[in-house]
Amino acid sequence: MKDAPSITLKRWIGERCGRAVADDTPLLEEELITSFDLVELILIIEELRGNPIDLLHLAPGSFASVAQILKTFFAEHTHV
Amino acid sequence: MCEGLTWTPAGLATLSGPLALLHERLDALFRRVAARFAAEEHHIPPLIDAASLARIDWFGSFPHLASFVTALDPEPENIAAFCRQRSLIEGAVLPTRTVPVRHILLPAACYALYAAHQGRQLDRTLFLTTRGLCHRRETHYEPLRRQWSFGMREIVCLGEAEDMARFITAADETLLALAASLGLEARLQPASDPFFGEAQGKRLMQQIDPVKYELVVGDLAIASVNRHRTLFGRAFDITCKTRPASSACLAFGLERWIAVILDRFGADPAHWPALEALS
Repeated sequence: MKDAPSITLKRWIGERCGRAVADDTPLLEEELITSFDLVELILIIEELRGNPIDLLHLAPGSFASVAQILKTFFAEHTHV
Repeated sequence: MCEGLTWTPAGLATLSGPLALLHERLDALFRRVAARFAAEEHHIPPLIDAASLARIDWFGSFPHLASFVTALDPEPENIAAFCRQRSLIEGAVLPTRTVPVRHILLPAACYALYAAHQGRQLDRTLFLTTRGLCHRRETHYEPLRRQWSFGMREIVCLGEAEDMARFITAADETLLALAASLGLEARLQPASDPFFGEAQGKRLMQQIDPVKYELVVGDLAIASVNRHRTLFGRAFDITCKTRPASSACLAFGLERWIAVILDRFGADPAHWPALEALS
């Protein structure tokens, strides 16, 4: 069985930044993801949710935390 | 063309008379803003070493803006060969063998300040200011509004993360108050830097996490407030109380302020605002 998106995202980000990440950890304020990570993170989100993200309309704050990523890109999921 | 402005299509402006004085008066105004933060004045060179800019991957983000500085290989025969050419070809000199490019013309004044503080261990937040002659290659130029060579006054806050929010708030308020006192219709809006095509991650990062706001009059950005977090602190090994130093800066484009003053008040110096009455 596949992990829920929240678990996959927290594990991937945690491996990148070298520390544990919670749902509400401020990813940008604490500089846990870089511009290099961002492109890869978007690809992972697209794979997890099964459809592409509209990059032209990415809203400020949409990557503020894992919780916000889930709210922005997985709103249709009931189990995250 | 405005009296007192001599312009070349290469994007180079020479100011004289009242326009040159206005340039100095604006800088004096921005130095008074810097004095509110007790910012320490710095005199900086117009060049910066490429290695410093490589630390922040500047060449990955803005290679198209770079103005490279080089020189002839000093070997006498190489210089003699250059001299024998004697004439320009379509307005260009053709260097013979050159030395490796280790410097570029400074593209933003504050870079020189981070480089000058490389390796420093700060025990408190510093406020710094400088005026730089900056250079950016562009696809087109316009007098006072988009120049290859232009003046930039910057105020930098470098140190504890907790001090950056206060500085940015003060900088935002200062910009809006300055614009209002000059009767300029201005707004602060998120900026979009002209990242080179392959720097997609940086462009997306700026989109989701706006760390740069510009003061815009009409369609012209005349100042910006930039939050760098620890980008420069980490790149230049600057710490504050053992943590990587955070930084933020407030930048004024001097010629662009002249442009909006001319637009708003006209070319007659008698109608220009009394900048000395502003603090």
